[in-house]
Amino acid sequence: MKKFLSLALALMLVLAIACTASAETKKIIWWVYASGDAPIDTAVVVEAANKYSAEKIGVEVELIFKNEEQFNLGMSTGEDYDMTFTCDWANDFASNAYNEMFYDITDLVKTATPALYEAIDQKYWDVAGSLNGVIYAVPTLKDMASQQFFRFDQERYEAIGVAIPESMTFAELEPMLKAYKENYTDLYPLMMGKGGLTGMTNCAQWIAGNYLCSPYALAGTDKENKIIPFWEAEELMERYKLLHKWYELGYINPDAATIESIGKEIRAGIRSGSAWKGYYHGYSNWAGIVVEGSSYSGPYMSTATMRGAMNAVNAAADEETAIACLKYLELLNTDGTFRDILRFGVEGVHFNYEVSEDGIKTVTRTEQGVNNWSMDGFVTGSVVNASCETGTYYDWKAIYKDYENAIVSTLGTFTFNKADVEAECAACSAVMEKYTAELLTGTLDVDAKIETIKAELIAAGIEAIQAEAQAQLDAYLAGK
Amino acid sequence: MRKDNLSVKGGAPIIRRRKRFSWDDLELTLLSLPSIVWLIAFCYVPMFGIVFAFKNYKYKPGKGFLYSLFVSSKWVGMKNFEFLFRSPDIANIFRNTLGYNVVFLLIGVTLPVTLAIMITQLHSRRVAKVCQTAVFLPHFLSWVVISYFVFAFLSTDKGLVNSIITGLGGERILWYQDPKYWPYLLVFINTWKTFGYSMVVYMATITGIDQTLYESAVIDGASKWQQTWGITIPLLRPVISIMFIMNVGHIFSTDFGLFFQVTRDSNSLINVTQTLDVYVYKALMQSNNYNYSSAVALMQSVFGCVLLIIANAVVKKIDPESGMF
Repeated sequence: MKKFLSLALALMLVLAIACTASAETKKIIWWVYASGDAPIDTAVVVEAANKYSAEKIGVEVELIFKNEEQFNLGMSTGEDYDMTFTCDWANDFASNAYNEMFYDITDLVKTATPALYEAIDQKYWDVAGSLNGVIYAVPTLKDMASQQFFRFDQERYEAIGVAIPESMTFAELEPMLKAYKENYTDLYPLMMGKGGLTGMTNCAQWIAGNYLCSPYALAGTDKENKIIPFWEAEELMERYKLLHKWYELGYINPDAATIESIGKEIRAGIRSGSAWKGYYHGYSNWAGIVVEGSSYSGPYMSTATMRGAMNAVNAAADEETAIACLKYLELLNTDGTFRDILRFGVEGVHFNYEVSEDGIKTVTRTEQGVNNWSMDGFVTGSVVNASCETGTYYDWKAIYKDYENAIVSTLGTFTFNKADVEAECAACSAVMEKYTAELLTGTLDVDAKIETIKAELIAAGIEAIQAEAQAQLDAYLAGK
Repeated sequence: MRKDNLSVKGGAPIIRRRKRFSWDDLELTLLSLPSIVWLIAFCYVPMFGIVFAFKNYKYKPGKGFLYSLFVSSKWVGMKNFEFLFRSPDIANIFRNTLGYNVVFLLIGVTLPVTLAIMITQLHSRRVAKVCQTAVFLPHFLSWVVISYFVFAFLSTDKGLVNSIITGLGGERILWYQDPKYWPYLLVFINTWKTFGYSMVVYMATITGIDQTLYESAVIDGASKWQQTWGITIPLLRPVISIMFIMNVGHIFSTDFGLFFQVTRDSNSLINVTQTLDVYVYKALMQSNNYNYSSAVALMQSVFGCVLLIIANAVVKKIDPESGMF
């Protein structure tokens, strides 16, 4: 009996090896972003996706979720991967590309995967995926511009008879805060955590940390293409001052600078976010109330906004692997069914399709889908190519068309290389760390403190960084 | 045949000088083997990482970590150390690091010894055990958990302390925005968490003291006070010295959890909470620069080691039997 069993086992082993060899699917390791743990149903969804992709293009993936620190550690220690998520806020694209960590796909993407090259607009290849004319990453299609919104509690504002305009300036928020405070005396109308209002500082393109920038508003003036310290960016300073005024008036929660964030269990009169037209409208599943948005800034476009999410291939990979990676991204960008698997999970388990009266196919997630396979839309591929969720339909074609009217940075594809001023940058970051949360929440009196901050940043070497960045920018503009 | 280990002079056997590896040696070696392996694997092998402090480390794709570190990354000499001294706050950072540690050191010696002696004087063994467990317990809590305890007391809106203050008609205090309370708070919290551990060490030593010493002292008419000063403290001295010397070695390092987590990373408090470790974390969290952090860590260790040797020499000068080495 034992002999028979071992014989059978050996036979199975041989068969198994033979099977994998004959299938000839290529397996690639793909690092993707997760702010916390990997979703529970990763194995189930990846199995379904692998079955589909193996059939279509002969490529399978091993999906590995990583957070910001894990990306940094993995990249610097040479952990094994074939394709990785990269962007300007995690697993930094610019520094990795400068260090030649990524595969040069300039020609390969055109010859091996022409459909992928076609699917993405030329300007996104040029501005987002490239560094010094070499394409290192495939941009993920999502919202490509940065537009800031205030999001109001529709019901409460209606109750106090204040209308919500479609767009407004930052300063125009004050009467709305006042009205809220007068009617709901116990509540803070503008509740925030230490991060402040999402995207509030995006009225400038940030060159180094949150201390050197180039405000979009300066295009066309004599300060166009000049890199300046944040205290010279008037629009931003104006916002900091207003926030402090509101803080003093009791519109902002006093402990804002020391708490992480305001959870969804708190019904906040006003929140904020980076979004696109139509995003804040109607019932919000997240907040559980009816909301209405009003845009106060943007849309702006720059390398930073376009590099919001991308995928790059490991420089150490061989050409066969690089092609497999690109083919996989091609399938994600061109095949809606496949995209929906990685976006929403397994049909019938994690989500179901619904077709509305006007023929639009949308997705309704099941409870298992919501709990076990849920992540930001850009994590596993393009948002544009995926189906929309029922109740939140966006016409991406129209949104992309709108981008033609966006305010576009005059700095083109300029990307600052910090290599020569790294010590100064670290010292300046440390100085800013001390004040950022207080500035963003209005806790700090900007007028009183700005001279101190200035002096500390100068001592830390901000002038050297500014000079270096400006020299690099001038050289870039001269060579354009 | 070698006779040196059995040599007899004038009829009296002298101590055997064993040259060969005996069964006893083998047994002891085997016993210490796990610790030796642990020490080599986790303390000595990773030490090659010191070269990070003198290199501009850049990973070279496909070449592996070791090749990138030793071969392809450039040597930059002492450049990585400059970063620390670029900070406009460097004087403040050193003041905090050393200041808190000196205070912790003084309290860490006096308080646990005093309490250990007091508890051993208790008549009821049960009360003594309860006290011991109660002060030992915080040692097992992580700083993150403690930071939430503290927050429950000091939170601006719903904190216990502010609720009491407002309940009594007072004006609430923005604890996390007012630096003047924190030097005391931090010392208090740190003491609360750590002193139970050293107290147990001292108590174990006290229990080990030969009871006949006390008995003969009592016969001679010594009071409790005299017994403590004449017997307990002198016999505790070697342990106190060792604990003191070991803590001196850590004088440039601070507990990140205490200064960062417990203060909730509040920037308003930074002047009294920014120590070397907090500064390094905050400066390098975004830039992913392992060279700078290694440089600072190396500096902390070297200074700590030098101070440890000095402290040991000073202690040995005062009391030749109490030194660590």
